[in-house]
Amino acid sequence: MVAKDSGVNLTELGVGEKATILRIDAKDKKTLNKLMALGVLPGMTVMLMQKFPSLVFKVGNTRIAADEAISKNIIVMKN
Amino acid sequence: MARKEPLEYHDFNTHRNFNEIEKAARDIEVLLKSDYRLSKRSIALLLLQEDEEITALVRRKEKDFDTIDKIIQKTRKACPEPLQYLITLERQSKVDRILREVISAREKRESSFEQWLDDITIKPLTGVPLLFLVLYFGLYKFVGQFGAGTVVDFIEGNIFEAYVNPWINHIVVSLIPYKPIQQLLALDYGIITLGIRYAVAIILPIVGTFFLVFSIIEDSGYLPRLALLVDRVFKKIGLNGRAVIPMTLGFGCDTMATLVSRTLETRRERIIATLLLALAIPCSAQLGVILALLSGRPYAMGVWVGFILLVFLFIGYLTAKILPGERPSFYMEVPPLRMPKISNVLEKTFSRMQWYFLEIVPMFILASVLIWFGKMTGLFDMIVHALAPVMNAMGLPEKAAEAFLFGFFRRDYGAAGLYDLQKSGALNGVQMVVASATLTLFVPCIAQFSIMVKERGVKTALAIVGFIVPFAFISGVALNWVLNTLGVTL
Repeated sequence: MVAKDSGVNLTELGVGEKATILRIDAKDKKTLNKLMALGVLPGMTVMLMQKFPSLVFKVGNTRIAADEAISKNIIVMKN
Repeated sequence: MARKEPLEYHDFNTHRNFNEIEKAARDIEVLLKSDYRLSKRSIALLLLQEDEEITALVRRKEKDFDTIDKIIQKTRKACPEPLQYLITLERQSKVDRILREVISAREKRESSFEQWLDDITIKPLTGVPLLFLVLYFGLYKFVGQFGAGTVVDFIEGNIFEAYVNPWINHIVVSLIPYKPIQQLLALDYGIITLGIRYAVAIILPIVGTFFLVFSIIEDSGYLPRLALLVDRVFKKIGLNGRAVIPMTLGFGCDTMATLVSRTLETRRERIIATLLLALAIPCSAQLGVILALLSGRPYAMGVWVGFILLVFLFIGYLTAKILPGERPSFYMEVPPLRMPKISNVLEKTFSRMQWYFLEIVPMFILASVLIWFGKMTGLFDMIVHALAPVMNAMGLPEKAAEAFLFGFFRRDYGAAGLYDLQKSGALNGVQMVVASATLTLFVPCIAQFSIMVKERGVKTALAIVGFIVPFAFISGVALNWVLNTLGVTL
Protein backbone atom coordinates (compact mmCIF):
# COMPACT_ATOMS: atom_id res chain seq x y z
CA MET A 1 0.00 0.00 0.00
CA VAL A 2 1.24 3.43 -0.85
CA ALA A 3 0.98 6.18 1.70
CA LYS A 4 -1.72 8.71 0.80
CA ASP A 5 0.45 11.80 0.66
CA SER A 6 3.54 10.61 -1.18
CA GLY A 7 2.41 11.76 -4.64
CA VAL A 8 2.54 14.84 -6.82
CA ASN A 9 -0.11 15.82 -9.34
CA LEU A 10 0.33 15.28 -13.05
CA THR A 11 1.00 18.95 -13.84
CA GLU A 12 4.11 18.83 -11.62
CA LEU A 13 5.86 16.31 -13.87
CA GLY A 14 8.40 17.45 -16.42
CA VAL A 15 7.87 16.84 -20.14
CA GLY A 16 9.02 13.32 -21.02
CA GLU A 17 8.86 12.14 -17.42
CA LYS A 18 7.18 8.84 -16.51
CA ALA A 19 5.19 8.16 -13.36
CA THR A 20 2.72 5.73 -11.87
CA ILE A 21 -0.82 6.86 -11.17
CA LEU A 22 -1.57 6.55 -7.45
CA ARG A 23 -5.14 7.75 -7.32
CA ILE A 24 -7.65 10.15 -8.82
CA ASP A 25 -8.59 12.95 -6.46
CA ALA A 26 -11.68 14.16 -8.27
CA LYS A 27 -13.99 16.34 -6.26
CA ASP A 28 -17.00 15.37 -8.31
CA LYS A 29 -18.12 12.02 -9.63
CA LYS A 30 -18.41 13.34 -13.19
CA THR A 31 -14.69 14.09 -13.51
CA LEU A 32 -13.86 10.72 -11.99
CA ASN A 33 -16.07 8.91 -14.49
CA LYS A 34 -14.61 10.87 -17.40
CA LEU A 35 -11.07 9.95 -16.46
CA MET A 36 -11.94 6.31 -15.83
CA ALA A 37 -13.68 6.11 -19.20
CA LEU A 38 -10.43 7.26 -20.84
CA GLY A 39 -8.56 4.51 -19.02
CA VAL A 40 -6.82 6.73 -16.48
CA LEU A 41 -6.65 4.33 -13.53
CA PRO A 42 -4.40 3.87 -10.50
CA GLY A 43 -1.48 1.57 -11.22
CA MET A 44 -1.16 2.66 -14.85
CA THR A 45 2.04 4.26 -16.05
CA VAL A 46 1.62 7.78 -17.36
CA MET A 47 4.07 9.71 -19.54
CA LEU A 48 3.74 13.48 -19.84
CA MET A 49 4.32 14.54 -23.45
CA GLN A 50 3.45 18.21 -23.45
CA LYS A 51 2.34 20.92 -21.01
CA PHE A 52 1.33 23.84 -23.18
CA PRO A 53 -1.19 24.98 -24.40
CA SER A 54 -2.94 21.92 -22.98
CA LEU A 55 -1.47 18.89 -21.22
CA VAL A 56 -0.94 15.85 -23.38
CA PHE A 57 -0.11 12.54 -21.74
CA LYS A 58 -0.01 8.88 -22.56
CA VAL A 59 -1.63 6.19 -20.44
CA GLY A 60 -1.29 2.62 -21.70
CA ASN A 61 -1.72 2.93 -25.43
CA THR A 62 -4.00 5.96 -25.21
CA ARG A 63 -2.92 9.55 -25.69
CA ILE A 64 -5.04 12.11 -23.87
CA ALA A 65 -5.29 15.90 -23.95
CA ALA A 66 -6.71 17.61 -20.87
CA ASP A 67 -6.74 21.01 -19.21
CA GLU A 68 -4.86 21.82 -16.00
CA ALA A 69 -7.90 21.62 -13.74
CA ILE A 70 -8.56 18.01 -14.71
CA SER A 71 -4.89 17.02 -14.76
CA LYS A 72 -4.44 18.26 -11.19
CA ASN A 73 -6.85 15.55 -10.05
CA ILE A 74 -4.46 12.85 -11.23
CA ILE A 75 -2.03 12.03 -8.42
CA VAL A 76 1.14 10.23 -9.47
CA MET A 77 4.40 8.89 -8.06
CA LYS A 78 7.53 9.56 -10.11
CA ASN A 79 9.22 6.37 -11.34
CA MET B 1 12.33 -9.06 -30.54
CA ALA B 2 12.01 -7.17 -27.29
CA ARG B 3 9.34 -8.60 -25.08
CA LYS B 4 7.45 -6.03 -23.11
CA GLU B 5 4.55 -6.07 -20.72
CA PRO B 6 1.39 -5.32 -22.71
CA LEU B 7 0.45 -2.57 -20.29
CA GLU B 8 2.78 -1.01 -17.83
CA TYR B 9 0.74 -1.57 -14.77
CA HIS B 10 1.39 -1.82 -11.04
CA ASP B 11 -1.21 -3.90 -9.32
CA PHE B 12 -1.74 -2.40 -5.90
CA ASN B 13 -5.47 -2.01 -5.79
CA THR B 14 -7.02 -5.43 -5.58
CA HIS B 15 -7.32 -5.77 -1.84
CA ARG B 16 -9.27 -2.53 -1.35
CA ASN B 17 -12.73 -3.25 0.03
CA PHE B 18 -13.42 -5.67 -2.72
CA ASN B 19 -14.59 -8.40 -0.38
CA GLU B 20 -17.36 -6.14 0.79
CA ILE B 21 -18.45 -5.36 -2.73
CA GLU B 22 -18.24 -9.02 -3.69
CA LYS B 23 -20.47 -10.00 -0.77
CA ALA B 24 -22.98 -7.22 -1.56
CA ALA B 25 -23.15 -8.34 -5.20
CA ARG B 26 -23.89 -11.93 -4.12
CA ASP B 27 -26.59 -10.79 -1.68
CA ILE B 28 -28.26 -8.67 -4.36
CA GLU B 29 -28.11 -11.52 -6.89
CA VAL B 30 -30.24 -13.67 -4.58
CA LEU B 31 -32.81 -10.90 -4.26
CA LEU B 32 -33.23 -10.38 -8.02
CA LYS B 33 -36.30 -12.40 -8.98
CA SER B 34 -37.19 -11.09 -12.46
CA ASP B 35 -35.61 -11.90 -15.77
CA TYR B 36 -33.22 -9.25 -17.15
CA ARG B 37 -31.55 -10.93 -20.14
CA LEU B 38 -28.22 -9.86 -18.62
CA SER B 39 -26.76 -12.13 -15.96
CA LYS B 40 -27.86 -11.34 -12.42
CA ARG B 41 -24.28 -10.65 -11.45
CA SER B 42 -23.99 -7.96 -14.09
CA ILE B 43 -27.23 -6.38 -12.88
CA ALA B 44 -26.01 -6.48 -9.28
CA LEU B 45 -22.70 -4.83 -10.20
CA LEU B 46 -24.44 -2.16 -12.26
CA LEU B 47 -26.75 -1.43 -9.32
CA LEU B 48 -23.74 -1.00 -7.05
CA GLN B 49 -22.23 1.37 -9.62
CA GLU B 50 -25.40 3.48 -9.51
CA ASP B 51 -26.24 2.99 -13.16
CA GLU B 52 -29.37 5.13 -13.58
CA GLU B 53 -31.08 3.08 -16.24
CA ILE B 54 -30.63 -0.26 -14.49
CA THR B 55 -31.61 1.19 -11.11
CA ALA B 56 -34.86 2.52 -12.58
CA LEU B 57 -35.52 -0.84 -14.26
CA VAL B 58 -34.94 -2.89 -11.11
CA ARG B 59 -36.99 -0.47 -9.03
CA ARG B 60 -39.88 -1.13 -11.43
CA LYS B 61 -39.46 -4.88 -11.62
CA GLU B 62 -38.62 -5.94 -8.07
CA LYS B 63 -41.14 -5.82 -5.24
CA ASP B 64 -38.41 -5.95 -2.66
CA PHE B 65 -36.30 -3.13 -4.05
CA ASP B 66 -36.01 -1.57 -0.58
CA THR B 67 -33.90 -4.46 0.71
CA ILE B 68 -31.66 -4.23 -2.35
CA ASP B 69 -31.33 -0.49 -1.86
CA LYS B 70 -30.35 -1.00 1.78
CA ILE B 71 -27.51 -3.33 0.76
CA ILE B 72 -26.28 -0.75 -1.77
CA GLN B 73 -26.37 2.08 0.76
CA LYS B 74 -24.61 -0.02 3.40
CA THR B 75 -21.82 -1.03 1.02
CA ARG B 76 -21.40 2.55 -0.12
CA LYS B 77 -20.96 3.69 3.47
CA ALA B 78 -18.44 0.95 4.19
CA CYS B 79 -16.19 1.95 1.31
CA PRO B 80 -14.13 5.14 1.41
CA GLU B 81 -14.23 5.64 -2.35
CA PRO B 82 -17.09 5.59 -4.90
CA LEU B 83 -18.12 2.03 -5.73
CA GLN B 84 -17.85 2.62 -9.44
CA TYR B 85 -14.21 3.57 -9.00
CA LEU B 86 -13.46 0.46 -6.96
CA ILE B 87 -15.27 -1.88 -9.33
CA THR B 88 -13.52 -0.37 -12.37
CA LEU B 89 -10.16 -0.86 -10.64
CA GLU B 90 -10.90 -4.47 -9.86
CA ARG B 91 -12.06 -5.10 -13.39
CA GLN B 92 -8.93 -3.47 -14.78
CA SER B 93 -6.63 -5.59 -12.69
CA LYS B 94 -8.49 -8.78 -13.77
CA VAL B 95 -8.18 -7.69 -17.40
CA ASP B 96 -4.52 -7.04 -16.92
CA ARG B 97 -3.87 -10.43 -15.36
CA ILE B 98 -5.52 -12.11 -18.33
CA LEU B 99 -3.65 -9.96 -20.83
CA ARG B 100 -0.31 -10.75 -19.25
CA GLU B 101 -0.86 -14.45 -19.90
CA VAL B 102 -1.80 -14.17 -23.56
CA ILE B 103 -0.26 -11.04 -25.05
CA SER B 104 3.24 -9.93 -25.73
CA ALA B 105 3.80 -6.45 -27.07
CA ARG B 106 6.39 -5.48 -29.59
CA GLU B 107 8.00 -2.07 -29.44
CA LYS B 108 5.88 -0.22 -32.00
CA ARG B 109 7.79 1.44 -34.78
CA GLU B 110 6.14 4.43 -36.35
CA SER B 111 7.44 5.77 -39.62
CA SER B 112 9.40 8.96 -39.09
CA PHE B 113 7.02 10.90 -41.36
CA GLU B 114 4.01 9.88 -39.25
CA GLN B 115 5.86 10.78 -36.11
CA TRP B 116 6.82 14.14 -37.54
CA LEU B 117 3.28 14.96 -38.68
CA ASP B 118 1.95 13.86 -35.34
CA ASP B 119 4.37 16.14 -33.57
CA ILE B 120 3.94 19.33 -35.58
CA THR B 121 0.15 19.28 -35.24
CA ILE B 122 0.34 19.28 -31.44
CA LYS B 123 3.29 21.54 -30.65
CA PRO B 124 2.05 25.13 -30.35
CA LEU B 125 4.84 26.69 -32.43
CA THR B 126 3.96 24.70 -35.56
CA GLY B 127 0.45 23.63 -34.58
CA VAL B 128 -1.05 27.11 -34.39
CA PRO B 129 0.01 28.22 -37.89
CA LEU B 130 -1.18 24.84 -39.23
CA LEU B 131 -4.49 25.38 -37.46
CA PHE B 132 -4.95 28.72 -39.17
CA LEU B 133 -4.16 27.14 -42.53
CA VAL B 134 -6.71 24.37 -41.96
CA LEU B 135 -9.39 26.84 -40.86
CA TYR B 136 -8.57 29.27 -43.66
CA PHE B 137 -8.59 26.77 -46.52
CA GLY B 138 -11.02 24.25 -45.07
CA LEU B 139 -13.67 26.56 -43.65
CA TYR B 140 -13.17 30.04 -45.07
CA LYS B 141 -12.06 29.20 -48.60
CA PHE B 142 -13.92 25.97 -49.24
CA VAL B 143 -17.11 26.40 -47.18
CA GLY B 144 -17.29 30.18 -47.06
CA GLN B 145 -16.22 31.12 -50.58
CA PHE B 146 -16.80 28.01 -52.67
CA GLY B 147 -19.89 26.60 -50.87
CA ALA B 148 -21.55 29.81 -49.74
CA GLY B 149 -20.39 31.76 -52.79
CA THR B 150 -19.86 29.90 -56.04
CA VAL B 151 -22.28 27.02 -55.49
CA VAL B 152 -24.98 29.19 -53.92
CA ASP B 153 -24.79 31.70 -56.77
CA PHE B 154 -25.07 28.93 -59.31
CA ILE B 155 -28.06 27.14 -57.76
CA GLU B 156 -29.84 30.34 -56.84
CA GLY B 157 -29.16 32.38 -59.97
CA ASN B 158 -28.94 29.77 -62.72
CA ILE B 159 -31.53 27.33 -61.44
CA PHE B 160 -34.04 29.05 -59.18
CA GLU B 161 -34.15 32.57 -60.51
CA ALA B 162 -33.78 31.52 -64.13
CA TYR B 163 -36.13 28.53 -64.23
CA VAL B 164 -37.88 27.46 -61.04
CA ASN B 165 -39.25 30.77 -59.74
CA PRO B 166 -40.67 32.08 -63.07
CA TRP B 167 -42.26 28.69 -63.68
CA ILE B 168 -43.81 28.48 -60.17
CA ASN B 169 -44.96 32.11 -60.36
CA HIS B 170 -46.62 31.46 -63.70
CA ILE B 171 -48.46 28.36 -62.48
CA VAL B 172 -49.60 29.95 -59.22
CA VAL B 173 -50.79 33.18 -60.85
CA SER B 174 -52.70 31.38 -63.57
CA LEU B 175 -54.33 28.84 -61.24
CA ILE B 176 -55.17 30.98 -58.20
CA PRO B 177 -57.08 34.23 -58.70
CA TYR B 178 -56.54 35.63 -55.18
CA LYS B 179 -53.55 37.92 -54.79
CA PRO B 180 -52.93 37.17 -51.05
CA ILE B 181 -52.82 33.41 -51.68
CA GLN B 182 -50.55 33.95 -54.68
CA GLN B 183 -48.18 35.86 -52.44
CA LEU B 184 -48.29 33.19 -49.75
CA LEU B 185 -47.14 30.51 -52.20
CA ALA B 186 -45.02 32.36 -54.75
CA LEU B 187 -43.81 35.78 -55.90
CA ASP B 188 -41.38 37.77 -53.72
CA TYR B 189 -41.83 36.10 -50.34
CA GLY B 190 -43.71 32.88 -51.10
CA ILE B 191 -43.27 29.55 -49.37
CA ILE B 192 -41.87 27.97 -52.54
CA THR B 193 -40.07 30.94 -54.08
CA LEU B 194 -38.49 32.14 -50.83
CA GLY B 195 -38.68 29.33 -48.22
CA ILE B 196 -37.83 26.33 -50.36
CA ARG B 197 -35.39 28.35 -52.47
CA TYR B 198 -33.50 29.39 -49.35
CA ALA B 199 -33.35 25.87 -47.98
CA VAL B 200 -32.20 24.30 -51.27
CA ALA B 201 -30.14 27.06 -52.87
CA ILE B 202 -28.46 28.68 -49.88
CA ILE B 203 -28.41 26.38 -46.92
CA LEU B 204 -27.85 23.05 -48.62
CA PRO B 205 -24.57 23.98 -50.39
CA ILE B 206 -23.16 25.56 -47.21
CA VAL B 207 -24.17 22.58 -45.12
CA GLY B 208 -22.91 20.10 -47.68
CA THR B 209 -19.46 21.66 -48.04
CA PHE B 210 -19.15 22.16 -44.29
CA PHE B 211 -20.05 18.60 -43.39
CA LEU B 212 -17.61 17.32 -46.00
CA VAL B 213 -14.73 19.29 -44.45
CA PHE B 214 -15.87 18.43 -40.94
CA SER B 215 -16.06 14.70 -41.70
CA ILE B 216 -12.50 14.79 -43.11
CA ILE B 217 -11.18 16.66 -40.06
CA GLU B 218 -13.01 14.24 -37.79
CA ASP B 219 -11.95 11.08 -39.61
CA SER B 220 -8.30 12.07 -39.86
CA GLY B 221 -8.02 12.46 -36.08
CA TYR B 222 -7.19 16.15 -36.38
CA LEU B 223 -10.15 17.50 -34.40
CA PRO B 224 -8.77 16.85 -30.87
CA ARG B 225 -5.50 18.53 -31.90
CA LEU B 226 -7.39 21.62 -33.01
CA ALA B 227 -9.28 21.67 -29.73
CA LEU B 228 -6.24 21.22 -27.47
CA LEU B 229 -4.45 24.12 -29.15
CA VAL B 230 -7.24 26.65 -28.61
CA ASP B 231 -8.59 25.45 -25.27
CA ARG B 232 -6.72 28.05 -23.21
CA VAL B 233 -8.07 30.96 -25.25
CA PHE B 234 -11.61 29.65 -25.27
CA LYS B 235 -11.59 29.19 -21.48
CA LYS B 236 -11.34 32.98 -21.16
CA ILE B 237 -14.77 33.36 -22.71
CA GLY B 238 -16.35 30.51 -20.75
CA LEU B 239 -16.00 27.84 -23.43
CA ASN B 240 -13.64 24.93 -23.91
CA GLY B 241 -11.53 23.85 -26.88
CA ARG B 242 -14.29 21.73 -28.36
CA ALA B 243 -16.23 24.94 -29.15
CA VAL B 244 -13.74 25.80 -31.91
CA ILE B 245 -15.92 24.05 -34.49
CA PRO B 246 -19.23 25.85 -33.91
CA MET B 247 -17.47 29.21 -33.45
CA THR B 248 -15.47 29.04 -36.71
CA LEU B 249 -18.43 27.59 -38.52
CA GLY B 250 -20.38 30.72 -37.59
CA PHE B 251 -18.39 32.68 -40.16
CA GLY B 252 -19.97 30.42 -42.77
CA CYS B 253 -23.49 30.10 -41.42
CA ASP B 254 -24.55 31.12 -37.92
CA THR B 255 -27.73 29.10 -38.17
CA MET B 256 -25.86 25.87 -38.62
CA ALA B 257 -23.28 26.85 -36.05
CA THR B 258 -26.07 27.32 -33.51
CA LEU B 259 -27.33 23.86 -34.36
CA VAL B 260 -23.85 22.35 -34.01
CA SER B 261 -23.41 24.00 -30.59
CA ARG B 262 -25.57 21.18 -29.22
CA THR B 263 -22.39 19.10 -29.20
CA LEU B 264 -21.02 21.23 -26.35
CA GLU B 265 -21.04 19.52 -23.01
CA THR B 266 -22.87 21.78 -20.59
CA ARG B 267 -25.96 23.94 -20.93
CA ARG B 268 -23.90 26.92 -19.80
CA GLU B 269 -21.45 26.50 -22.68
CA ARG B 270 -24.28 26.05 -25.18
CA ILE B 271 -25.88 29.33 -24.02
CA ILE B 272 -22.59 31.28 -24.21
CA ALA B 273 -21.88 29.90 -27.70
CA THR B 274 -25.42 30.68 -28.89
CA LEU B 275 -25.20 34.24 -27.59
CA LEU B 276 -21.79 34.95 -29.10
CA LEU B 277 -22.80 33.47 -32.46
CA ALA B 278 -25.95 35.59 -32.59
CA LEU B 279 -24.20 38.74 -31.41
CA ALA B 280 -20.70 39.02 -32.73
CA ILE B 281 -19.95 36.42 -35.40
CA PRO B 282 -20.91 37.73 -38.86
CA CYS B 283 -22.03 34.96 -41.23
CA SER B 284 -20.79 34.68 -44.83
CA ALA B 285 -23.83 36.62 -46.09
CA GLN B 286 -23.12 39.54 -43.76
CA LEU B 287 -19.39 39.35 -44.41
CA GLY B 288 -20.02 39.58 -48.15
CA VAL B 289 -22.21 42.68 -47.79
CA ILE B 290 -19.96 44.41 -45.30
CA LEU B 291 -16.73 43.71 -47.16
CA ALA B 292 -18.31 45.11 -50.32
CA LEU B 293 -19.67 48.11 -48.46
CA LEU B 294 -16.38 49.02 -46.80
CA SER B 295 -14.07 48.05 -49.65
CA GLY B 296 -11.78 50.90 -50.60
CA ARG B 297 -11.95 52.32 -47.09
CA PRO B 298 -9.27 50.42 -45.12
CA TYR B 299 -9.64 52.60 -42.01
CA ALA B 300 -13.38 52.05 -41.90
CA MET B 301 -12.76 48.31 -42.23
CA GLY B 302 -10.23 48.49 -39.40
CA VAL B 303 -12.68 50.28 -37.09
CA TRP B 304 -15.39 47.71 -37.88
CA VAL B 305 -13.11 44.68 -37.22
CA GLY B 306 -11.72 46.21 -34.02
CA PHE B 307 -15.15 47.13 -32.68
CA ILE B 308 -16.69 43.69 -33.30
CA LEU B 309 -13.65 41.93 -31.81
CA LEU B 310 -13.89 44.13 -28.73
CA VAL B 311 -17.59 43.34 -28.28
CA PHE B 312 -16.93 39.61 -28.79
CA LEU B 313 -14.21 39.42 -26.13
CA PHE B 314 -15.94 41.77 -23.70
CA ILE B 315 -19.33 40.04 -23.81
CA GLY B 316 -17.70 36.57 -23.78
CA TYR B 317 -15.62 37.48 -20.75
CA LEU B 318 -18.58 39.06 -18.98
CA THR B 319 -20.95 36.13 -19.64
CA ALA B 320 -18.32 33.70 -18.41
CA LYS B 321 -18.10 35.69 -15.18
CA ILE B 322 -21.83 36.26 -14.66
CA LEU B 323 -23.49 33.05 -15.82
CA PRO B 324 -23.74 30.55 -12.97
CA GLY B 325 -22.82 26.89 -13.32
CA GLU B 326 -19.93 24.57 -13.75
CA ARG B 327 -16.74 25.91 -15.30
CA PRO B 328 -15.94 24.30 -18.62
CA SER B 329 -13.55 21.38 -18.52
CA PHE B 330 -11.56 19.94 -21.38
CA TYR B 331 -10.39 16.39 -21.95
CA MET B 332 -10.21 14.40 -25.15
CA GLU B 333 -8.52 11.34 -26.49
CA VAL B 334 -5.90 12.21 -29.12
CA PRO B 335 -5.86 9.40 -31.69
CA PRO B 336 -3.00 8.98 -34.15
CA LEU B 337 -3.44 10.82 -37.47
CA ARG B 338 -4.64 8.63 -40.26
CA MET B 339 -5.78 8.95 -43.86
CA PRO B 340 -9.57 9.47 -43.88
CA LYS B 341 -11.57 6.78 -45.68
CA ILE B 342 -13.51 8.31 -48.57
CA SER B 343 -16.50 5.99 -48.17
CA ASN B 344 -16.74 6.91 -44.47
CA VAL B 345 -16.51 10.61 -45.18
CA LEU B 346 -19.16 10.54 -47.90
CA GLU B 347 -21.56 8.43 -45.86
CA LYS B 348 -21.28 10.75 -42.87
CA THR B 349 -21.64 13.85 -45.04
CA PHE B 350 -24.81 12.60 -46.70
CA SER B 351 -26.53 11.39 -43.56
CA ARG B 352 -25.76 14.71 -41.84
CA MET B 353 -27.02 16.73 -44.81
CA GLN B 354 -30.23 14.76 -44.79
CA TRP B 355 -30.69 15.23 -41.05
CA TYR B 356 -30.02 18.95 -41.29
CA PHE B 357 -32.26 19.47 -44.27
CA LEU B 358 -35.21 17.87 -42.51
CA GLU B 359 -34.69 20.20 -39.54
CA ILE B 360 -34.28 23.41 -41.51
CA VAL B 361 -37.04 23.23 -44.15
CA PRO B 362 -39.95 23.75 -41.72
CA MET B 363 -38.12 26.83 -40.31
CA PHE B 364 -37.88 28.43 -43.72
CA ILE B 365 -41.51 27.74 -44.49
CA LEU B 366 -42.44 29.38 -41.20
CA ALA B 367 -40.26 32.39 -42.09
CA SER B 368 -42.02 32.87 -45.43
CA VAL B 369 -45.41 32.76 -43.71
CA LEU B 370 -44.30 35.37 -41.16
CA ILE B 371 -43.02 37.71 -43.86
CA TRP B 372 -46.26 37.30 -45.77
CA PHE B 373 -48.19 38.11 -42.60
CA GLY B 374 -46.08 41.19 -41.83
CA LYS B 375 -46.50 42.53 -45.35
CA MET B 376 -50.23 41.85 -45.55
CA THR B 377 -51.11 43.45 -42.23
CA GLY B 378 -48.89 46.50 -42.65
CA LEU B 379 -46.98 45.47 -39.53
CA PHE B 380 -43.63 45.94 -41.26
CA ASP B 381 -44.41 49.53 -42.25
CA MET B 382 -45.30 50.27 -38.65
CA ILE B 383 -42.01 48.81 -37.37
CA VAL B 384 -39.93 50.74 -39.93
CA HIS B 385 -41.73 53.90 -38.90
CA ALA B 386 -41.19 53.21 -35.19
CA LEU B 387 -37.46 52.66 -35.76
CA ALA B 388 -36.96 56.13 -37.25
CA PRO B 389 -35.85 57.80 -33.98
CA VAL B 390 -33.36 54.96 -33.35
CA MET B 391 -31.87 55.47 -36.81
CA ASN B 392 -31.61 59.19 -36.12
CA ALA B 393 -29.77 58.53 -32.86
CA MET B 394 -27.23 56.42 -34.76
CA GLY B 395 -26.82 59.20 -37.29
CA LEU B 396 -28.36 57.10 -40.07
CA PRO B 397 -31.10 58.01 -42.55
CA GLU B 398 -34.55 56.67 -41.67
CA LYS B 399 -34.54 54.44 -44.72
CA ALA B 400 -31.78 52.35 -43.09
CA ALA B 401 -34.45 50.82 -40.82
CA GLU B 402 -35.72 48.86 -43.80
CA ALA B 403 -32.32 47.28 -44.25
CA PHE B 404 -32.32 46.08 -40.64
CA LEU B 405 -35.86 44.72 -40.71
CA PHE B 406 -35.71 43.03 -44.09
CA GLY B 407 -32.16 41.85 -43.52
CA PHE B 408 -33.59 39.80 -40.67
CA PHE B 409 -35.97 38.06 -43.06
CA ARG B 410 -34.12 38.09 -46.31
CA ARG B 411 -30.39 38.72 -46.31
CA ASP B 412 -30.03 39.88 -49.91
CA TYR B 413 -32.83 42.39 -49.37
CA GLY B 414 -31.15 43.94 -46.36
CA ALA B 415 -27.89 44.05 -48.24
CA ALA B 416 -29.47 45.62 -51.27
CA GLY B 417 -31.04 48.24 -49.02
CA LEU B 418 -27.67 49.35 -47.70
CA TYR B 419 -26.11 49.22 -51.18
CA ASP B 420 -28.79 51.48 -52.56
CA LEU B 421 -28.24 53.96 -49.75
CA GLN B 422 -24.50 53.90 -50.33
CA LYS B 423 -24.81 54.27 -54.10
CA SER B 424 -27.16 57.22 -53.83
CA GLY B 425 -24.43 58.84 -51.73
CA ALA B 426 -26.65 58.94 -48.65
CA LEU B 427 -23.98 57.38 -46.39
CA ASN B 428 -20.56 58.73 -45.45
CA GLY B 429 -17.72 56.61 -44.03
CA VAL B 430 -18.73 56.94 -40.39
CA GLN B 431 -22.34 56.11 -41.20
CA MET B 432 -21.26 53.03 -43.11
CA VAL B 433 -19.15 51.77 -40.22
CA VAL B 434 -22.00 52.40 -37.76
CA ALA B 435 -24.52 50.66 -40.03
CA SER B 436 -22.16 47.69 -40.62
CA ALA B 437 -21.34 47.27 -36.92
CA THR B 438 -24.98 47.45 -35.88
CA LEU B 439 -26.02 45.03 -38.62
CA THR B 440 -23.34 42.57 -37.47
CA LEU B 441 -24.41 42.70 -33.83
CA PHE B 442 -28.11 42.52 -34.70
CA VAL B 443 -29.68 39.03 -34.87
CA PRO B 444 -28.53 37.83 -38.31
CA CYS B 445 -31.60 36.12 -39.74
CA ILE B 446 -34.89 34.50 -38.92
CA ALA B 447 -33.58 30.99 -39.57
CA GLN B 448 -30.97 31.45 -36.86
CA PHE B 449 -33.61 32.73 -34.47
CA SER B 450 -35.83 29.72 -35.19
CA ILE B 451 -32.93 27.36 -34.49
CA MET B 452 -32.17 29.23 -31.26
CA VAL B 453 -35.78 28.63 -30.16
CA LYS B 454 -35.57 25.00 -31.18
CA GLU B 455 -32.22 24.27 -29.55
CA ARG B 456 -32.22 26.48 -26.43
CA GLY B 457 -35.95 26.85 -25.79
CA VAL B 458 -38.27 29.84 -26.16
CA LYS B 459 -37.29 31.51 -22.90
CA THR B 460 -33.54 31.47 -23.47
CA ALA B 461 -33.88 32.47 -27.12
CA LEU B 462 -36.11 35.43 -26.24
CA ALA B 463 -33.76 36.46 -23.43
CA ILE B 464 -30.80 36.42 -25.85
CA VAL B 465 -32.67 38.43 -28.49
CA GLY B 466 -34.02 40.76 -25.79
CA PHE B 467 -30.43 41.51 -24.91
CA ILE B 468 -29.04 41.68 -28.44
CA VAL B 469 -31.54 44.06 -30.06
CA PRO B 470 -31.15 46.98 -27.62
CA PHE B 471 -27.43 46.21 -27.24
CA ALA B 472 -26.89 46.41 -31.01
CA PHE B 473 -28.65 49.76 -31.28
CA ILE B 474 -27.03 51.23 -28.17
CA SER B 475 -23.61 50.14 -29.50
CA GLY B 476 -24.44 51.82 -32.81
CA VAL B 477 -25.39 55.05 -31.04
CA ALA B 478 -22.23 54.88 -28.87
CA LEU B 479 -19.94 54.17 -31.82
CA ASN B 480 -21.50 57.04 -33.79
CA TRP B 481 -21.06 59.38 -30.82
CA VAL B 482 -17.42 58.40 -30.23
CA LEU B 483 -16.45 58.72 -33.90
CA ASN B 484 -18.20 62.07 -34.25
CA THR B 485 -16.85 63.45 -30.99
CA LEU B 486 -13.32 62.53 -32.02
CA GLY B 487 -14.03 64.16 -35.36
CA VAL B 488 -13.07 61.03 -37.28
CA THR B 489 -13.78 60.86 -40.98
CA LEU B 490 -13.46 57.45 -42.60
